[in-house]
Amino acid sequence: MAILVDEKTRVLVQGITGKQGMLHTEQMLRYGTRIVAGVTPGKGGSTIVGVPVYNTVAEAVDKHPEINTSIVFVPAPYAPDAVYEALDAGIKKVVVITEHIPVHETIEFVRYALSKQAVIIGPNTPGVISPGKSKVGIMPGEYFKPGNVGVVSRSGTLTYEVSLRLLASGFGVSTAVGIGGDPVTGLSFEDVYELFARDDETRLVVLVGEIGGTKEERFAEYYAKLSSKKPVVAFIAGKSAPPGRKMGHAGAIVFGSEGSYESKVNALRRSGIYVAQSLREIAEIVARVLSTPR
Amino acid sequence: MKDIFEKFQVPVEKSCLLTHEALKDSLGCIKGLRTPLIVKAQVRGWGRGKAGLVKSAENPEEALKVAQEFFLREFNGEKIRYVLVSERKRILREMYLSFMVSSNPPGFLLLASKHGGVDVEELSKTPGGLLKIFIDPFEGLRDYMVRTVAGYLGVPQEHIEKILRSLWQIFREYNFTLLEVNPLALTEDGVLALDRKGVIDDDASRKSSLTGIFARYFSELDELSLSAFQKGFSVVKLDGDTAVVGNGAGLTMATLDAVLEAGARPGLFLDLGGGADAERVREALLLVLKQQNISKILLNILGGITRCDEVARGVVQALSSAKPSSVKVAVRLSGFMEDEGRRILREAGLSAFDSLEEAVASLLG
Repeated sequence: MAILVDEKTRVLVQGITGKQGMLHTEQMLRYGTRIVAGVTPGKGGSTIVGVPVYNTVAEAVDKHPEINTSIVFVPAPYAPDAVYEALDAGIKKVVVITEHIPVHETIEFVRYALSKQAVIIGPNTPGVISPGKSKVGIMPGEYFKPGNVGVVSRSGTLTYEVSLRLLASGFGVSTAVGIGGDPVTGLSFEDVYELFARDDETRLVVLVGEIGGTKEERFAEYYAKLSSKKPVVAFIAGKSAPPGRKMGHAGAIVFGSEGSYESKVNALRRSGIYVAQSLREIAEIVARVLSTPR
Repeated sequence: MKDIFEKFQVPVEKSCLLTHEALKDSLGCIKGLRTPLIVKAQVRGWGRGKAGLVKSAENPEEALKVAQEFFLREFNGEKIRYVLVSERKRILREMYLSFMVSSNPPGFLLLASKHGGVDVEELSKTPGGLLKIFIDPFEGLRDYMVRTVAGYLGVPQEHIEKILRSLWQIFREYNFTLLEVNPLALTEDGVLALDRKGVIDDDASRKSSLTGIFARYFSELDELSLSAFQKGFSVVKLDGDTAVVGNGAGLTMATLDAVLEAGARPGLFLDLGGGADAERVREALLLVLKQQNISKILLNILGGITRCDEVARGVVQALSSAKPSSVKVAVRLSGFMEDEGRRILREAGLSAFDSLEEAVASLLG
């Protein structure tokens, strides 16, 4: 098993003729992801790295009814429209790689997706990878090997870093999910944990958070109330960030005690979550927890 | 901010906006206000009152003197450029009102409190101290929400209706992530939005309605922040000597943490963002090299949407054009197009580290 994407995933690439779209379509195909079609308005009828291109999502879905997931490489000014197009064509899983989408617009399409019982992954996400099965995203595939650690992260490159370290310590990944670095995202840590909890393959979850916002605190609150739980090992980036300054992500800013490193770490610890103090410690804790008999 | 409120007809107090350059010409405007007066420095961030940047004045001359004094001061390391002098209203009661982005569930929040003057974090800790209403983006502000707020605050609905509707319009139109009226004051002239603060989403800067606001914002930035914003880097200046450059906020922050933990002193945080090509990497490094306080640079790149070969090209170009003699550079390169990236660096006489720890250690050694 795996969560969100697996061997049954059939992918549509929106913005397939753009620089990033083209490059990563090629990378995903090389990884073994089943990409069946692409969409770029006005470029219908052409073929990109062997993938047929359509003018509209409706047309692509009509010709390839097996499409069940879309990945969006469309630039920010047009990305929300691309998401609506996918949702209106009935696609239930949309991975939005695009960054810099205004948060008001994100809120609108995320709410719209909810009303359609669809899932948005992102925006500003590296995507999702179930190693050996499917990669719907921009992560370097070779950093992820099959295993029983679920990874959920707010940060793209930090997801790669963490998986690389797990790999070096002999651990593989069931699925790695980038929920996205923006303040508002389609999936929350709770949503992804719930999927991991139901996934037989996943024995432990690594949660990669960062300062700013209250996503980690919310997860801690939720986790504390669960009656049966899989172990969670968390790492929070930004321990050394000065307060009141935005550290890269729109979401990474600390006001007062709200969203600070201490606030997150304390909330997680109180809920019985292991907190790694450094990147190196993540794999050490994972090794310790997984070697303890269940 | 006040201009926007006036444009949307939110009742505000009468006031004059002062700049240091045109301070003397402002006396006429101030004389048109009813005394007593209140003088407030216009700053970015919260905590102005506690910093002593809000003062009363009995007459226009005194207000001018206070303003003069404010212009010589700083707030959070930034010069004070604007001072607002306004009529000091007799306040019967202070309240709080704001709209903000809600991340979970995704949507917006309308917050109201019977108590003004304190920050919302404090209010949320007091039982009954804060009314929270969730707003769906497709539903917008409903009549019942207005009624609920008026009932909770204990003010007639007609006093609050216009303010709420206009605030909501402003919040949505200008893409605020937080728009706060604190205090919302019940005065002898009715309900006034006496002090206004907000945070606009950077990612909305291309909206035409925001051109003016962003133009003013840019005019106030220092050279480093401005060129960083224009190029789409996220930069934070710190006081050490080691610059940390990475791709992606989380990774760059974790790199900063690792640098600090190893005993080095971070002097600059620069997130290249996703998909930086050689030109962007070159520009970023040249920007870093211009900083006087920087003597070490740690570049931590994990290629995903960013290509390691492009990064390597950018590094080589920057270092060969700037030729820094006293700056130590450590590059950690891994991921997409890594082999090609390493080859490019090698040919230029540079090498790349496999892990973050090795790169950090090399800077300290």
